[in-house]
Amino acid sequence: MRIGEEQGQAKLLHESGETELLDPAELPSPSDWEEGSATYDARTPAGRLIAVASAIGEGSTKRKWDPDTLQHAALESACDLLTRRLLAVDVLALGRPELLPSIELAASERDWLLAIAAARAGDALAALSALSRLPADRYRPKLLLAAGQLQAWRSASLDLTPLPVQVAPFLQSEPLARLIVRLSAPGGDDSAALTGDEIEVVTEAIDCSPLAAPLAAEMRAAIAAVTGRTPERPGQEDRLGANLRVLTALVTGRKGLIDSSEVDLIPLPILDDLIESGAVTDDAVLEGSAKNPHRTRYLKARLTPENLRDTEVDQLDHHEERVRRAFLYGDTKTLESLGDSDATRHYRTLLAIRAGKLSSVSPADVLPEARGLVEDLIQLAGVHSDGRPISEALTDRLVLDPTIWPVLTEIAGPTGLAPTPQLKDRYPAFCEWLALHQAREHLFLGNWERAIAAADFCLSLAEAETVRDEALNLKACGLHYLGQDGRAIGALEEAIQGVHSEALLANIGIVAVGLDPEVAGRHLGMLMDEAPTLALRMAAADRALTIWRNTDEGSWRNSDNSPLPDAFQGPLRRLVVAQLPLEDFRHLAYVLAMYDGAWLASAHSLTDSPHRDTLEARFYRARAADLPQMIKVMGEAMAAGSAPRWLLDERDSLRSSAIDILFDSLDEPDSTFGTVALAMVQHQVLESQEDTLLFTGLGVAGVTYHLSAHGEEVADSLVQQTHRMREGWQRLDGEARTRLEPVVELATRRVAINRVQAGERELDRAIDIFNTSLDLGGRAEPGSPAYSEALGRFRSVASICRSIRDEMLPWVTIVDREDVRGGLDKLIEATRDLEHRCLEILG
Amino acid sequence: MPERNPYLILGVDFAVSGDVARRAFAYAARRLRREGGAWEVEDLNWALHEIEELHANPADLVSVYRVPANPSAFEPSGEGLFRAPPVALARRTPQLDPESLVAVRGQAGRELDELLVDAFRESLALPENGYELGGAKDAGT
Repeated sequence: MRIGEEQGQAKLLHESGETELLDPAELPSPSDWEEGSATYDARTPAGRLIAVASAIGEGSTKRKWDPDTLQHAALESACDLLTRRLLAVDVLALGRPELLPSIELAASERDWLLAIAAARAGDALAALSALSRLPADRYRPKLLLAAGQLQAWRSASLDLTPLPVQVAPFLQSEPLARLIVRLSAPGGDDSAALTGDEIEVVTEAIDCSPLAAPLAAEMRAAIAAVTGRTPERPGQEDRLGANLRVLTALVTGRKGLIDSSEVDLIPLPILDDLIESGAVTDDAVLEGSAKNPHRTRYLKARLTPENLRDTEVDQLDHHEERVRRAFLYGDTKTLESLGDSDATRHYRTLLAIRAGKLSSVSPADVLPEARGLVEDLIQLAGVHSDGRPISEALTDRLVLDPTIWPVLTEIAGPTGLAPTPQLKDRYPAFCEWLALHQAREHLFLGNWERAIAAADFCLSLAEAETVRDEALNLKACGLHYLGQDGRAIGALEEAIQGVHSEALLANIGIVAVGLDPEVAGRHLGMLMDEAPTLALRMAAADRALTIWRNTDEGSWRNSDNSPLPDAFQGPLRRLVVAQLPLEDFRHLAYVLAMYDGAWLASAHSLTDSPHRDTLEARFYRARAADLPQMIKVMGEAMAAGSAPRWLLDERDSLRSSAIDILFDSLDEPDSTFGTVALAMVQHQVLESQEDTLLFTGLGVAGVTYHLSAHGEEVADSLVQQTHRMREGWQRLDGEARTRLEPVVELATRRVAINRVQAGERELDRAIDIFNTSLDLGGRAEPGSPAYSEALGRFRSVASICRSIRDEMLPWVTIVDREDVRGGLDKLIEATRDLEHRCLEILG
Repeated sequence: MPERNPYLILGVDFAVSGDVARRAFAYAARRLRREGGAWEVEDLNWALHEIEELHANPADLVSVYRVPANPSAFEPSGEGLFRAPPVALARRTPQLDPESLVAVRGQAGRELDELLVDAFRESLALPENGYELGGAKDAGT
């Protein structure tokens, strides 16, 4: 490593620490081993040695020279000032400022270099410290350094008191120096107190600085804002803070400078200034006012008073708006209580006009802008009282104010102002309204034809659907009362096209009942779907059902097997799953169980109903499936105790219907309704013991008759049930016993007959066995297996005869009818005879 | 023959309250005495009784023809003498309030300073070494 010159020869340092002098011509080529700091492109050979020493010191190379020796040699080799300065730059560039004091330079020069190095390294404290040691009257570039570092120094809360001293000598010649003094002064950044000089300072600082043009323009705009001047070039405010933009908006009145999110930060008087100058939009103000309710209310009242709640009007003590609202609400008490003011006098006068007291009204009592109108009204009333047509006194300003139209009709009378063609040409909108108004008045007076004519006149003018629909509604009403329901339905159907109301649907449901019930039902079905309240939807359902039940149900379009017509079947299904009160749900579930059972019984019919798990839902879905299921649900509910009233009513209704059907079908061999009666007994839904016995008797009689007619035997359980019924019947008191006697007798008799028939069939089979046994025994040798088989069969036949006889004997005592008893006796005798013959053979 | 409509007979809109119906009854009775008309006193009595006895909320009825179907159709649209627009609240703060202006300007001054400092920090590139701003000799003068 070459470390210097000595005696005209190159001085080399070996890694062993030895030195050697060599002729420069004998030096080898430079090696290519640089690593780490050794790669630094030094300005001087000494800087190069420092770089190598640094690389060795930091371990980024494996060379073994002693770094201290290299550093010492480097510092020793810097003989002249230029080399020392270049070495100082190298030392700082290598991040070795601690070596700077070892380089022979002036102290101030070293401080200046340290300040630069510290600033570049982001060491705010070191930079300020070095800067503070500089001689105040020298190093003019320190102004730029200080300006660039001010932000960092302020952020680090460093003591900036040395700065004014450092820049003082340049105050006269450098605007930047004055800006630094201003920004470094404690609390001195309040631009509200900017003096003319300071403004000049800041402006000059911007003008003289190397700021980019857009940045400089923004600065100038900001200065314009704080000084209350109009910016020279508007549109440069995007990066300005909110308060700077507020001041700019105040000066220029320009919109778009203030965002809604900043509105809450603006003092209310200033915001009012901005509102009045139009510099801030209503939307921005209202969107941005949320934190303070008083302020929000105030601003709402200023900008959108229509959105104030009445309580807010009171809280604001907003007299004019309070008076206006009292008038609109017809709240004369409040209006009277609000004292005397221009506003109260104005609206009290309007009230008097509305009350028909125009003669007592003075135009001076209303607000100036309304005086002309009131004068016109007074004149109009005078014309009317003179008996002249008031159309003569109609003025443009009267008719062009639609809020006056009702007053005009009050003066003229409901039908006193004819919508003549002349009037129609001058004031079509007024005539449209007048005709509609008069159509209603004629209906009130029972003048159906005139009502229709007025409605037609209105329709000839009106384009708005709202008005046309109403005119058609009034016309339909007139037609309906004239008995022209076909035309009335046509008018209402025209009104219903497009947007329609529940009122129109209800009206067509009324009008169409007589002429076309299905049309009524269809529109009531729409009402069931669309009406705004559940009560109205239910009312529509009830009316549709009533109309349907009172007409020929078969004439209604019906595309499925249920009785319910298409007109409202779907709406009814949708209504039953709505958020209905339970009572309404029960009612509809009942209707659907009766008329749309297949759908109601289907798995998901009530899934969407809030009442899907109620007793009502279970009961009517069971009812829709079949009666025994319904009776089972009924019985379970009763067994659980406290059955609801509606269920008891259902039970009573079922009882009543069942009795009718059972008695009517007693002699119908194909009726199976007896099973319903027995189910009612089985599930204990009947109220009294007498009812239980009655239904048992009717059930047994019905079921037994059906089975007998089909040649089938009654089950043993039914026989036992019959005996239990008889026992219960015998325990009844005399009157009840007498009442039930015919039913008990009938049930007993029918079971006895069934049993006799069964016994006869069994005896026939026994006789067949007897006869075949005779044949078998007659052909067989005594003692042979066949002979024994025949004897066994005779024993069986005898046993069967005894069994039949044992079963029949009890019936002999309880059957009253002679013919039945004769049959029993005959059967018993036959069993005896056959048994006797068997016993004879058996010996 | 259609069913009688109590509201039409009394000359009132569908679903008005009992109080309104009673006032209308008095008016209709006077008119009947003066001018006659399509209805008899018995009709008026019946109509008033019907309205007083009607469903708690007549709007849920579907058995009475509704006149009007849409009451808003009879309200002339727009603002005017008898339907004045809402009154905006008059200003309750002083114009160009000095105190508020001082506050805003004070804040604006701080924003300006921040801007200036930011601007200089962004714009003034630090010299690589102390001699590039004219050299140590120049820098020291």
